[in-house]
This record gives sequence, C-alpha cells and structure tokens, in this order.
Amino acid sequence: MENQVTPKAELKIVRQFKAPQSLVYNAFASREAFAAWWGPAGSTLTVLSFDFREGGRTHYKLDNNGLLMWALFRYQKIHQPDSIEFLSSFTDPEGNISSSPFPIDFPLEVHNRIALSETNGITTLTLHAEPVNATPEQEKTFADLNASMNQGYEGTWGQLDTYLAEVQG
Amino acid sequence: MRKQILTYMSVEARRDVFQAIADPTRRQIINLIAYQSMNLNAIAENFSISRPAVSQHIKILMECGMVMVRQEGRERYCEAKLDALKEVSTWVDQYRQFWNTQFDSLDHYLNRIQNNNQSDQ
Repeated sequence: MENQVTPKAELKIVRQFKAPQSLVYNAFASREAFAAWWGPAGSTLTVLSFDFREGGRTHYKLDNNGLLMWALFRYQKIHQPDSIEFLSSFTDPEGNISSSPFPIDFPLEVHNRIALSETNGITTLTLHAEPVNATPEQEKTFADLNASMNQGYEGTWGQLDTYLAEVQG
Repeated sequence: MRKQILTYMSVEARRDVFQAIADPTRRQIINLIAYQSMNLNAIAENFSISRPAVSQHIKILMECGMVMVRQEGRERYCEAKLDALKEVSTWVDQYRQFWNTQFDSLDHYLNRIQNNNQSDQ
C-alpha cells in the first residue's frame, strides 16, 4: 500500500454538568458509580472487571436485547481530580481486542482524554478522542471515503458530465 | 443513536450504504467510479477476482443505492451515486453520538444521586 498522509480523525466534545467535579470524576473512577450510568439506556451493563489506575483495565459487556458486545478501557494516565486518559476498544468475551461489531470500519483502539474543571458548582468536561492503531485498511477507508466525498461534492459532477459527453459524443 | 447502533447490528441482509462499504472490494469499486463512470469490463480489469464476482458486488452496490447502471448502446456504464455517502457519517460523527449518549446518561445519574443525597440530609 502506498504511503499517504491520512487526515486525522479527531473528536472534541465539551459538556457541562450541574455537579461538583469530584462527583463527575467519581463517576469514572468508582466501579459502583460507573456501573450506574455507563452504557446506553435499554442495554444491560455487566462490569466484568474494573481496575481504575494507570495501567489498569476495565472490561465490560453490554447486552442489548440479546445483542452482546464487549469492550475494554485501558487507563493510561490518571490525574485526580481533573484528567483521565484511556484507550477504548471492542473485545471478544475474553477481553482480546477485536474489530468493531458494526459493519463499518472503526479504529481498533481509540484514545480518549477526559479533562474536568469546576466553576460555581458546574463541572465542565472536555473529551478529546482520536483513533490509534487503526489498521492500514481502516486508515485507507477513512481517507478513501473522504476523498470520494470531497471529490464528489467539489466538482466531480462537472468532470463526470464532461466525461460522459466525451464517451457519448 | 441507540436505534442507529441497533440498525447497524441487525443481522438480516441489509441493503444500505453501510452494507455497501462494509466490503473492501466494494469500497474499491466505489472509489474507481467516483471519478468517472466505467463499464463492467473496465471495472473488472482492476480486480483479480472473477468478472461474475465483480458483477455480484456491483449488483449489491446497486441494491444499496450506491451505483446506477445505464445502458449506452451495447455498453452498460456504472455510475457512483455519491449522494448516498451522505448517509455515512464518519467515524468521528459516530463516536460523537456515542459519547453524547453516554454524557446524557451521566447527566441523569448525577442528578439522581444528588437528589438522593439531598433527601437523605
């Protein structure tokens, strides 16, 4: 595969919560708290293991009406009470990293960084996420799709018209 | 988002843009004809798999609304329908929706436990 510069996919979300920072931090740091909110509503979360410390792993299962999926957090840097960095990935039931259960290319692993700050009892959470360890195939998919779409929306129709006029002429 | 994820995970044979791009050969076909429409032979020349196999992929792409085939004299030209790609949000959009759902849940949780704490006091 040729070397190519892949546009980086990055995500940033800022949310504010009407709660003290310690409580928001605890929602990630405590097994009991995490189990109380993580996972889409309507699905049953089973926390298989929980080890919130640098180098620790949290493995969980989601059961959504019989559709099972497993995922893993691997904590990299933890700075109480204001920052948590972890890698997230889908896994098999044993916790081995596996590809996404969705039929679209997801990166094998995503690096997530959560930063917290509190002002007047309102906690601001900033999430940064970006794919890491994407397979070349996955990176190419992102790049190809971007290219197709950009090309498609930025003038390909004109080129296509010209081409069609030529081949039909 | 939840509904969307469930749709993705549905096991029945889907014919949508996600199904279209789930296969690497089909992605290559889309990329080939994104820039210019091509006839089946010209497309098949780009692949080591058999012509019928390429044809099968194009059929699926048609069913997914990603490719339109036009008869031009004796030739059949495959044209990419790139509008369908609008349906594909990038990974970033998918992941954003995922986290927003999680944060909604966190919000509910935080409200719940704070209300509980207040009523305990």
